[in-house]
Amino acid sequence: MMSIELRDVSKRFRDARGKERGVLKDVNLVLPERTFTCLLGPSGCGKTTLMNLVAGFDKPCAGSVAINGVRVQGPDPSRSVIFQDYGLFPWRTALGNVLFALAAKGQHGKEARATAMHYLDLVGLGQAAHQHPQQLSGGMRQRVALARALAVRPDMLLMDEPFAALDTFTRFRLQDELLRLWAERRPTVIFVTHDIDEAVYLAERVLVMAPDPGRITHDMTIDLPRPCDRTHPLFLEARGKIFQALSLAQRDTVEYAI
Amino acid sequence: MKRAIAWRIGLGIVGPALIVFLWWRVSRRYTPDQFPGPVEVVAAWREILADGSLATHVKISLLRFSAAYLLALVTALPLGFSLGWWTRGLDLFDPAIQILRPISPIAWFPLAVLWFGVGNAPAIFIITLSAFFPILLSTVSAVRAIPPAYLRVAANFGAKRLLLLRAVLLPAAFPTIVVGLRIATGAAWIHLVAGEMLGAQSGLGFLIVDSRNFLRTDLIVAGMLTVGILGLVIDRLVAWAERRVRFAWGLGQ
Amino acid sequence: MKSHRRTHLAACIALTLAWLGIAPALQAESATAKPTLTIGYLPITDHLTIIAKERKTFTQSELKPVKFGSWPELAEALKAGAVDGAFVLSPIAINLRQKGAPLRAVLLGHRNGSVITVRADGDIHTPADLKGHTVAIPSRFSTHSILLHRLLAKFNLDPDKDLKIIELAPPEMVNALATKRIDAFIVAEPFGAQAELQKVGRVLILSKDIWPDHICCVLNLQQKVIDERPEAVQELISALIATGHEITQDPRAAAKSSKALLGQKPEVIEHVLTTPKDRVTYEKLVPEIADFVATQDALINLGVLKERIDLKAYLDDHFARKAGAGKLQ
Repeated sequence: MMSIELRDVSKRFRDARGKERGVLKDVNLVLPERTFTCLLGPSGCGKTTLMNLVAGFDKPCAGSVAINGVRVQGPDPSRSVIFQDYGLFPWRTALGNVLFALAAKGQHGKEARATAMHYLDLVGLGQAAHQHPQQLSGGMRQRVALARALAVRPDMLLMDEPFAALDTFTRFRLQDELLRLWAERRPTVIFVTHDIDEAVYLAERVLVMAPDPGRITHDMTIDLPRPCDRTHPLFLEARGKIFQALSLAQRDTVEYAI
Repeated sequence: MKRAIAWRIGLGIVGPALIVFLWWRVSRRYTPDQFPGPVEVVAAWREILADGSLATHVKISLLRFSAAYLLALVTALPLGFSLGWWTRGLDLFDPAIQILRPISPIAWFPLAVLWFGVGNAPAIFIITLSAFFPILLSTVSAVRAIPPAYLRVAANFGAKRLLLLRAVLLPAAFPTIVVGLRIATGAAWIHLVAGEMLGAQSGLGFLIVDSRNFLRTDLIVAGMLTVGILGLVIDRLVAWAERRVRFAWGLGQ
Repeated sequence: MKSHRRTHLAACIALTLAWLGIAPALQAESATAKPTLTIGYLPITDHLTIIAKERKTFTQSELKPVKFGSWPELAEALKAGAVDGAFVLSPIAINLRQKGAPLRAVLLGHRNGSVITVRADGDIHTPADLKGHTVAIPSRFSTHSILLHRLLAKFNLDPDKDLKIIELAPPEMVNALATKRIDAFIVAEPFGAQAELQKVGRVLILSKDIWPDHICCVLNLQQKVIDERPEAVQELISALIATGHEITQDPRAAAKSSKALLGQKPEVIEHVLTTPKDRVTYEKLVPEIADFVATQDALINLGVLKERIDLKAYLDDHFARKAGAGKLQ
């Protein structure tokens, strides 16, 4: 299982005008294993960049990103990523997409098929195994992506606003499904979102972030019985606290004059 | 559904029939030696069909075309993938490619004869050249246009190079590459006639060029139509093959 | 360079090399056990002696005629050494030689053999009538251009002011005449005969009447072939000379047998050979230096040749003389 440690991490990008922008500055963070953490903040706060650093798609300009004490060198199937646009191959069926992930790990043949079907059933898409992504709804596509990510039995699950493009009802359904699936093996999860309700509903720990430069401003624990009741006063209280934290964070931010 | 098909077939017949009729009308204003009409051309067709020369010409032209197209595929596809993938390589080769590309293969005649002599080889060289650049360029842009998302997914799951090429790059690049393949088919077939001017002793291009010297315009037109019809058939074949692959890969229309 | 990029590059280079390696293998259109002499030609009456291929047996080297559609490709092949020899217009050959091609003129293809054709229904009845009209020639580098200018000089016509001379591909000349885009053309036969037989053109004057016994097409061989296979060359030239005699004696049979190699209609060839009898002649084919001097001078005067070549070094008449000394076959 995986614990993540970020130490003094900074990341700078050159924007379209060639100016250097501090996307992340002096981030220090320890995420123990088997935890469900949300990164919450407005656009530009660096949450996606942070996730990319953990995933290994990018390297920090300063500081270190380490998993179980070992520096992150690049992407790895032990850290499965779920993208906002699903990242499914349109030329493969749902089954084919899951099989790809298994093939990359060296698993082929009947065994791989059985594993793939197991995870597709798990997300409720057993019947749709032979459909192509184009023939599936947004929610179903995300479920295929989930099945694919879980089929390789990762130690870490990194999710970048995966439900942002879905309608409310599908989103609620998938949130429940995600929690159900997570409960089985409990990989370490980093869930990026801009939706306060979602953060409260899903996470045990919410890291509130602010932009310019990207940094973590609040580290809040959510201690609610799962599954949450969205109308329960405790839920609303937690929500309120986070809202306050976000407003504070916003006020401290210098606004850019364009 | 049946009516729709009937309409398509009907229109498909009416179109050419109209053109043939127009052709016949125009040809009446000239002597058969100057501009043969459909009747004369059909007679010329039967002449070369009967003495077996049409079969020979078609066979050898198709052979040359196939060999040349295969050569173009085998050289342009790997090179295209490499240059599309490796940006430095593209920077290195791009100027040369852009300079060579607009040069008509016909301008290469003297060099073709110098390097390859006369007969089959320079013809195949000319045809290969005309097919090479469309395939190369469409492959390069296809590979460069592969959505980075796919590459990230593949990297995330740790796909090794062969699996990456086979399961991600090729299918992702396929739709754009296929456009280049079809353009290349057309270009190659057009340059078949030109290529066969270099001392080939048979072939459809040879038939056309040779008939010029006898003022057998009817044979020239018969040759032209044969080239055109075969070109259409080949293009349809490529389109069919493309549809099959798309279907298998669920890319649909 | 990372290792996988190296493999990519290596693979591409290997494939290109493989391709270049395949190319020579594709060169042989037909494999023969005997050595061959490849001779390029055009399907015109000037090159009729090529029918020696069908009439004679060759023991030294098989004669392999290579047909071309037009002069530029034939000249390219000769220049590149892709053929052992070819029938070439003397101006083209002299030009190639001047550029350094190692060619030798070993035998004439014919003498005479061209004609100025005018529109059948036109108003040109004497050469003087050419004034104010458009005449087509195949190229500045042709005996036809030389002949035309000679004729114009004889009739005091200024080629730049009194008429318009254009270059046109021979197959297009007959149609251009028929559609009145040109008023006359001078080119190798049988294009003139074709115009006659189609009734769109008639003969104004034969080239033999402009310049009696002029040379036109000449058999040129690569120096290398002469050095390495003199017996084969001798055999070829003897066969061609003998064939020339046969054509003179029986033009009808020659016209008939020309179908395979030339492809022209036999009646057209027969017309050229017989109307009149000496429209084209295949006798006295030994290359004489005086003919070439006259041709070269004309080219210099026309401004198409910049520098003279050493004609003595260019001609090699000993094969022809040796064959001519022998008996008729």
